[in-house]
Amino acid sequence: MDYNYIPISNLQLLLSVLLIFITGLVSALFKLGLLKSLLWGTVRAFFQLTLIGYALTFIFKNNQIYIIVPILLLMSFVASREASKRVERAPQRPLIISFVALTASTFVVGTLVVGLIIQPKPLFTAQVVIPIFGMILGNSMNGIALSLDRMYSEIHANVHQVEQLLIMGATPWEAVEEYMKRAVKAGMTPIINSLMVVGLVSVPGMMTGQILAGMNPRDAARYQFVVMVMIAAAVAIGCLIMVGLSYKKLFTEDMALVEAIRKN
Amino acid sequence: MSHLFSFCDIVMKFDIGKQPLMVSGFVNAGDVLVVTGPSGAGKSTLLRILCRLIAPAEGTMYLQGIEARQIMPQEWRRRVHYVPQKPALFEGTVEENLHRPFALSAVSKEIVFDRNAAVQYLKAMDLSPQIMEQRAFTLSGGEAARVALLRTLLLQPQILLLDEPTAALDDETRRSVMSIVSRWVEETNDRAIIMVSHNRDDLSELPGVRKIMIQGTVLTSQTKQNLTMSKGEADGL
Repeated sequence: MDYNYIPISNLQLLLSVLLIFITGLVSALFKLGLLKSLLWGTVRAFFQLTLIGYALTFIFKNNQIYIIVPILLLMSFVASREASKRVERAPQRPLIISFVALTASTFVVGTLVVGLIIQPKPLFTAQVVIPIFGMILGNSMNGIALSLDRMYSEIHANVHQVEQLLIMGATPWEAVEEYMKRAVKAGMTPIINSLMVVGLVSVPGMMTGQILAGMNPRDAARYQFVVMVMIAAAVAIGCLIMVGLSYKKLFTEDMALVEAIRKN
Repeated sequence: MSHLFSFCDIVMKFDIGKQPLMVSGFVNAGDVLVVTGPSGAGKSTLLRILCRLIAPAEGTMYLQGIEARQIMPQEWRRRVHYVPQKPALFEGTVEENLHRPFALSAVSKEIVFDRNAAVQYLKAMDLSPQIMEQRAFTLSGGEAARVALLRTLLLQPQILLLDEPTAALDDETRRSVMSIVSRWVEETNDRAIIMVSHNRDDLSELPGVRKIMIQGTVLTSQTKQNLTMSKGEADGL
């Protein structure tokens, strides 16, 4: 069987805009007030994707490490901004912690996957590195955002218990350990659930993309498996780093809860 | 001679609109120091500072002559132990709650859980030993307060910081609890109590209220004035 890549022409692209009308119709019918956002979102998506298409073409063509690494760092920064923005009850927006957790987990797992599993030649091939790192970042971002949010919710809900443990002689870690574990679990649960149902409920986006691009589905499935386990590992590492860095910020030098947590 | 426990020129700062307060005091073995004052005066804040849950703006504390900073906070809090007005209990049975502190690294190095002592205290507090099997979250307010006090006493603190310990108790239970506390402070020669209480009857149950020494000063931006939560007021109790 022959697998061929089918390009999308300008006309076909224009036809896809018809789908926006369906979404708009639903919004208008139920007076959801989403029309403006939908239009703005569509325009943004079109230009952002077009721009990234050209940018990636340029980057892949040049394939220079001094271009690739700053781009990866920029992607990390944008992802960490997004992850920290979703955390509602943190005394301070945990931007730096998110950035460290996301960047470290993405670079560790991404390097392992590219260097040991995929092994492109040359090793630092932008066409491989950027999509792989991007996928890790996108998923870790969700995991870390969930984990951060859960961590602060748990601490706020159990502030008396945490303080009671401190009174009894607990170290800061002993006082919050239970809640930190729940936070890590919350971050990791979606990807573990995805591992359970992948291929049964849905064909994942990357695998779909590869199949549409002409790859043999068996090979696409192998890639998808690598991607799934790599994301799970990155989420686990990211959540661990995030929790390890965050919990200390809940306490003063004297190992008591900081005022912002105590009084909130 | 150094006191068993002392706090010197502790400055408490409050939210906007209230002047900072400076207090000093000490207790020796067998002493019961009662902190009084109107609601919102900073009595609970003082107890929380003394067990290092809040850092004072200024001032320092000494336990047996050793400055607070020289003792790890975990060790300090076990020895200078605070019992809040509403102590938190954890999921699980009463016995699991009593065990909980003994699983902590700083505590397990020093002492082990003494079940016999727990049973003795339960009986003295008018609680049946069978309560050990009961889920902690099903206890009444009075039972929970006594279980929390028992958990504290098993930790063998030296300085007990009690924040209205009998507020949730009926008259009879209040008397038995205060009697246990008064016996506890006299059992060995290295224990003392600092207590916030609005209940004058609590003090009548404490034959060991031998010394009440607390001085307070309101700090204004310019001057220092003598104040309120003072020796005189406490002596009058």
